[in-house]
Amino acid sequence: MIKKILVITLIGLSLAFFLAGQKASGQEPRGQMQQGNLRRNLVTLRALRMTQVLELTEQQTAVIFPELNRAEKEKAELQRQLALEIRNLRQKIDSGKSTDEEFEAGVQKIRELRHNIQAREQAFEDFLFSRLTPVQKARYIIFSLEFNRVLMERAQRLRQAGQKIK
Amino acid sequence: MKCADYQKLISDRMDGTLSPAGQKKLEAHLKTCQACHFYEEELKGIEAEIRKLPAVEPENLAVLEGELRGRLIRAEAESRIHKHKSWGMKLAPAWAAGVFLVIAVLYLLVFNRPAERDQGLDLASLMSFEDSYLTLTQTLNSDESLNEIYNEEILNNIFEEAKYLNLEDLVNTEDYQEQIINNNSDINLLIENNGLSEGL
Repeated sequence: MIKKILVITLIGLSLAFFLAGQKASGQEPRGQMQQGNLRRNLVTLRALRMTQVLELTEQQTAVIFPELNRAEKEKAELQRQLALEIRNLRQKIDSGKSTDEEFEAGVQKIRELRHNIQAREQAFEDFLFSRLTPVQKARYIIFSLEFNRVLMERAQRLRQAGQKIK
Repeated sequence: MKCADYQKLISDRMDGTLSPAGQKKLEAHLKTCQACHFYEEELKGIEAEIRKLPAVEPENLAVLEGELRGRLIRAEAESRIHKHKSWGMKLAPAWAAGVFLVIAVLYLLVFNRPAERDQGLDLASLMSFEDSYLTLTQTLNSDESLNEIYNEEILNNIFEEAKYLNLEDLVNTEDYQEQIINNNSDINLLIENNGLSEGL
């Protein structure tokens, strides 16, 4: 039953990302599309590992994964917008033609998006923690830290290797 | 007194150190004890034989003493070496265990200190998947090729996890299969163009 919930949730998640990617494909550069794939895969991998580490029961899986799915869809959209705003801000700085008002608007938009992402993430974590045992909460914190650390370190190494080759 | 005590008195009398009272006791005993009488006769015979030997010159004595000392020193040295060797052999496992322990402790202290490992990292940001993701995308953003390679790695990890959890249904979806085909062609192209795989 746990497997069934997992498969349905994760396939649903993939599909939602896939449709969002199709919708945005006409507007966004190839890099953004690739990051859509990357995010979806990261979220899927994180969900799979989390299931193992937390040793979720069937009841927990049944309530946590649909909420995870909802939270991820919302955050993915916010992250996509944030990436676009950051790109715009870079372009504004590089061009040197933007006004203070335009900069201010860009900065405000980015801050707002970032706040919304953090708020959504916090809301999911609150929901999650209301369903986990104390040991599972402790495991979740350490799991998050290690998972994110590995992501960052691997990305840094890739970047360094890429720079050396160039 | 026993015969053994009288035989000691016999030795003392031959050395000239026996008291007059001891003399009387001994003589009275020798009259009745044939064993002690024969013992005294035997000792007297040995002493007579020794007296017949030629006297040793003082010079010869010094040579003999020197030779004896030399032999003693060599024997002692050999004994010491033997002792060291045997201790060394006996302690070999203890030494090996000691060295292993020291290396293990050093490894734990130097390479695996959680407190130090976390130093220099923004732990608050690492606690948040979204903050980490944002940093990650900014790290990879400007380089499409890195994005492709990274995504390929994540995909492989997903397939491994899915296999481990018996969730093959998940990775058999059309979307994943399409990603694999696209990624493989992209990765091959990247490798051809940049040789990126060499450094990774």
